[in-house]
Amino acid sequence: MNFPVPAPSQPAASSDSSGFLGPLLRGETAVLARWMSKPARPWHSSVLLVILGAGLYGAAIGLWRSPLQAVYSALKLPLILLLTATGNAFLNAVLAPLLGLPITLRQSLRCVLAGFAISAVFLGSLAPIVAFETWSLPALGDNFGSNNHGFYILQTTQVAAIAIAGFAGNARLFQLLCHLAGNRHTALRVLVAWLLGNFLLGTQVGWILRPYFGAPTLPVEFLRPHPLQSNFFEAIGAAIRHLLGLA
Amino acid sequence: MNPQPPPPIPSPTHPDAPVAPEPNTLLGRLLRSPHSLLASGDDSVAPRLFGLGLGGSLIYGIVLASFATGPHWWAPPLKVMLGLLVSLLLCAPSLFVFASLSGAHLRGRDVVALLAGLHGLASLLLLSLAPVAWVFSQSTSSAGFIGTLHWLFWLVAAGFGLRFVGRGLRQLGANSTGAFGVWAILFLLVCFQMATSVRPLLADSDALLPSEKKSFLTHWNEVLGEAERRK
Repeated sequence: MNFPVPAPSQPAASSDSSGFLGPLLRGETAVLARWMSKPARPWHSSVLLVILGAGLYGAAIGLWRSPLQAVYSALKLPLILLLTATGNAFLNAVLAPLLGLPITLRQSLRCVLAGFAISAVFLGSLAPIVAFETWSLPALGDNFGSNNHGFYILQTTQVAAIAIAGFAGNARLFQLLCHLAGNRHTALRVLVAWLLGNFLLGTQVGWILRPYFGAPTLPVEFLRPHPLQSNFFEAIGAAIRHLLGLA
Repeated sequence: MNPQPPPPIPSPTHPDAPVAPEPNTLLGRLLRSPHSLLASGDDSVAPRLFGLGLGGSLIYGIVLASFATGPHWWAPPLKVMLGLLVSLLLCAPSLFVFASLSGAHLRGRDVVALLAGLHGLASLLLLSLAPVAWVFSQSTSSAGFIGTLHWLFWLVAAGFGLRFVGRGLRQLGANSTGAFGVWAILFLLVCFQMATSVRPLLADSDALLPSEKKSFLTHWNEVLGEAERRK
């Protein structure tokens, strides 16, 4: 997808009336940069959008397993984003000036939250479609493993949706960083550094907070027993060893 | 004999050429200047377009139902009408987000207007294709063939409807088409799955709705495989 970089003169006038969401989605960097310097509102708006968007999406995917799983997933998906943003807030605030972007901790956190909010809103907008998909595909049952065509469809579409949501959020975050830094080179360095940090923490938080779909052979629960006992990368390594016949 | 010169053929650039009047009916504006529908800001346009969409899809559903005469012959028209409407509603939030990501400045009422245009125009196209569909549905007993034909007609109709939405988004300031293209594919996939979820639409069946849930890919595979075996 090609997300346009708006011309600096385009956005300002029309956007104040349409609140925070419109400029955020359209990537009106001048407007967003102004919002960044204002007191509390963009902070609350971003958090609210994350909770609503990711929550709706979590509910839609959890619905496939059971209504209780839907409630759990609705709570956990926003938690991943918010815990990642706050857990890495200090790291991101340290990295930005080191890489040439002199912004404060509050500004860096707001930037990251704005990117997460875009991804969450994108996912939230897909929630009705995902809910319809989970309703219309064969339910998870005892024959899971032998007849799991529906599971693969759901899994593939969710991976695609989350990948596009991540791309959309980061594309807009990059535009915002370009505006703040004044050049693409610095913005790219900061974005890559933040991405690496957020990826590292985000994958592990996501791993700890599993399950989201909920395997049919396991009970519905908020967290798996001993959630801190393993980590995402060990599990990936084990899966690769298993595939290669080394385990 | 002095042959008279033939009268000149009026060309669009000729100063005396009759100028086509700006259409003022809903259908005329929808077909000839759909942009004027969006630009008018008339609040009554969207409900009328939805009405057109509901009526057109209901009539096309009757034609679709004429292929088989089961005990639930009345159900396919309602399924087509409501299925299309629900598909549009499911995709409405994502249209807002995808369009905004493309740079379009739109509000909720713009989304409603765009979806109403898509609904109305696609249903109008389906209505115009209904006689052809009816002829074929009376001339074959192959569900695979007639199903494929209906999907082809739907793709043509939806293509024009989606073009309306695409142009509307440009009018609203969208400056890239990538996000809208993804949304259009998403909308078509939802329609495919909706048709599978409310089946049977074509077959003689005692059941009003399916007892087994399937993805549309699995269902099509089975239908086409069965048609192949019958040959």
